[in-house]
Amino acid sequence: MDVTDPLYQRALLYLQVAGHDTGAQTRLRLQEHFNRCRADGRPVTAATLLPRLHQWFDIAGQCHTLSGPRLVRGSVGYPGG
Amino acid sequence: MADQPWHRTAHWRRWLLAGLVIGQTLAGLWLLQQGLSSDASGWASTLLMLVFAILFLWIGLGFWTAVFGFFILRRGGDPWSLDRQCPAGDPAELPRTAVIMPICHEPVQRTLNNLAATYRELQQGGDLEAFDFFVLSDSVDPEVWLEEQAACADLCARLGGHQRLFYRRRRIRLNYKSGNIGDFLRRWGMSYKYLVVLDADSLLEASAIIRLVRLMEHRPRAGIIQTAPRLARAGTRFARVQQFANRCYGRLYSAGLAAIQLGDATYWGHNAILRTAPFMRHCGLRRLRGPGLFRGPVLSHDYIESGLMGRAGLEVWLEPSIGGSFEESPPTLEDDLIRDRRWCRGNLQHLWLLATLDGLRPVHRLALLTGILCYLASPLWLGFLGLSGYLGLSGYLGLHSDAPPPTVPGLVASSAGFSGTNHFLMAFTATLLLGPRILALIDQVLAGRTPRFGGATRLLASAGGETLMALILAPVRMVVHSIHVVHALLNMRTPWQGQNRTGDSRSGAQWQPFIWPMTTAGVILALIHWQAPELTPWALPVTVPVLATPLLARWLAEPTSNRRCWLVPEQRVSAPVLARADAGLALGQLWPDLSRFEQRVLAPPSSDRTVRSQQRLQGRKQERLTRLVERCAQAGSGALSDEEITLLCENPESLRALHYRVWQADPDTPWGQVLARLEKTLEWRPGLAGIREEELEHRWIEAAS
Repeated sequence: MDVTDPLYQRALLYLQVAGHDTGAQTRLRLQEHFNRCRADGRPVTAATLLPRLHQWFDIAGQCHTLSGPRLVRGSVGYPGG
Repeated sequence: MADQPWHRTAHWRRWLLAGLVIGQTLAGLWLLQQGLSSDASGWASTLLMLVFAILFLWIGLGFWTAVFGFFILRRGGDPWSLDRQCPAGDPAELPRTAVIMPICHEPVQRTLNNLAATYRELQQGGDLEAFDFFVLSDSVDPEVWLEEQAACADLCARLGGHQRLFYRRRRIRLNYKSGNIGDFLRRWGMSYKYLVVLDADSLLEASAIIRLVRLMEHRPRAGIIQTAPRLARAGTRFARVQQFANRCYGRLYSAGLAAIQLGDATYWGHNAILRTAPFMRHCGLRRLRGPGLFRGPVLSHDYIESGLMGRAGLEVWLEPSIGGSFEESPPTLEDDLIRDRRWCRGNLQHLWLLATLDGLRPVHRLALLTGILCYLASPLWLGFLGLSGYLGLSGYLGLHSDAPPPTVPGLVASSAGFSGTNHFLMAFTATLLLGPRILALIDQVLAGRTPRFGGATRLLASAGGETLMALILAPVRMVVHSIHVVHALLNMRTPWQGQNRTGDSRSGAQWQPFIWPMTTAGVILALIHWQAPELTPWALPVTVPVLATPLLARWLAEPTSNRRCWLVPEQRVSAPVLARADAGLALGQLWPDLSRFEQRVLAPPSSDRTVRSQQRLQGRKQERLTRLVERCAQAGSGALSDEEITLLCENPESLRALHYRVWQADPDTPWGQVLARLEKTLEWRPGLAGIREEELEHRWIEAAS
């Protein structure tokens, strides 16, 4: 396949951003997926790229938030009740 | 509260202090009376005497506190302090303790690296099990709080702090810092026996935290134990001077204060431990319901909270002998004065609480009063100078036509001659002002601590430089604080923002604090020169520093690595916790060329369902979010306001939808350009995150060695 294809390049960028390996093996795997989709008559488009990438690769994503511990409700007292 | 053994000692110490301060004030008043001209009578001289009495009482309180501190330190410490009474090395299990750090628009990397340093210290000592860490944010700017979130998540991953390090940001910000802590207490306070409160610039060694917990366990009556933080990590000339003053003279004042207050000490808002249950029960702060300044949230909460703790029958202790407690000085004069503006407003609010809050212990009332006087003293000094000038000039202005033109200022000019009593009064005043510095130097020499300051000569030179700087800045502070007081009393709003702690340059608006003081000084100088040109040289020491403030402030704001002057012990041998914090991790750093919001949108969201929103939104809010996603996807991040970005980021499902949309963007659209920038960033920066763990350890070892 044409490795200068913008969608292929974007897929690689996404994998890199996700912290996924983008070495030769991954690239080969990605090209195979792209070729198979084209052969199946369901070519990858901008709209389907991300869902497919998530299907093809194990993308853990990044956790940006920390959840708090279990709530233990209490009240605060004020002077004078 | 039932009588405690320390009460007796506290009583006699306080009576002794009162006797000394009042006696010295009466002596000063007598000298002033003798020095005043017999013509000088009427309202002006009476008012002058009154103002003088308050000011002399005020500076006397500082002087005698330092004298107390000197004698306590010379005796090897206070036998009544908790630190002396509680044996070290208690092996008992540590109770559950929360270490909380309320923040609001603070420099994220620096702040969290401070927390990380404390965390690692506890981890290294094997004492982490008992502690949970909470970062409690009140930041509004999404660029700041998104960085806080990312940095906290990164820190948690690096430290292995899952379920031990937490981040919470309030969506509804009520009652500033005390409200933030109150919010934490309502949610999780019941889970912890103690609460260690840190400021954004606080650093506590593990040994200090553990000692605080042990002291609390040893003294069940103690509601709060406050450490005396040392200033550290100063980078600018201004901060270096403050740091030197704190390290050289501070120990005298804090030892004296602790000796006088004993179990009725005050809480300074951070670097302290609180007993959670009574704090929750008794220390809630309602919004004030008075007029003007006295309406709204309590701005300076700490003194009030210690007062409420005392009112509930618990003790508050200041323990200056606990080492390993650090904080930072504002880096510049502007930042110091901006902080003072907030504190001034907060402290003046205490007038209302003094009048309306019953049951406070007398020592806590006095502490509130001294806090108020910290700022009221400035207009009083200004008034004193004005009154003495008026009295001096009154003869010259024709009220007493036979009086000679004054050649010396104020009250000195108003006397028949420059008599011995005038000399004595001036020497007396100088002793009260400079005495604590001299005593502190003697104490450092006697304690054999001069090598820590670079030797006796360097210590003396540093103290000389610091004193000169304090004398030059005194009129600036006097005028600026006076303006702060007027602003506060007129209830003119002041912004409540995070403090500049790094010395980074600010915008030109930061020169604003100096405009009014300079104008005031200029007008005063012109008036004096117009009415009594002979007095102009005498007015110059007060007016010139104020007029030169911008230049002075600029010089003081410059970073300095000078290791000869204003040296403090930590610069020779850095405390491990400081070295760790200085080594610093680059936390949550992804792609520096992109805004935090762009980073958040582009980064693949977590597939972990537990961190995704459980809430399925419907109705108008969902419609609004859908519209925001659409607008942002089409027009880029610049199309959203901060509030809209916040709304989007608080809803993971909407953020996920936006994430999928922007990755479909064409190259010539706003998000397409962002993706191009991202591509460029990744080409130049193959490593996604900051420095690695091994590198950090290496840096730390380097710094420590």
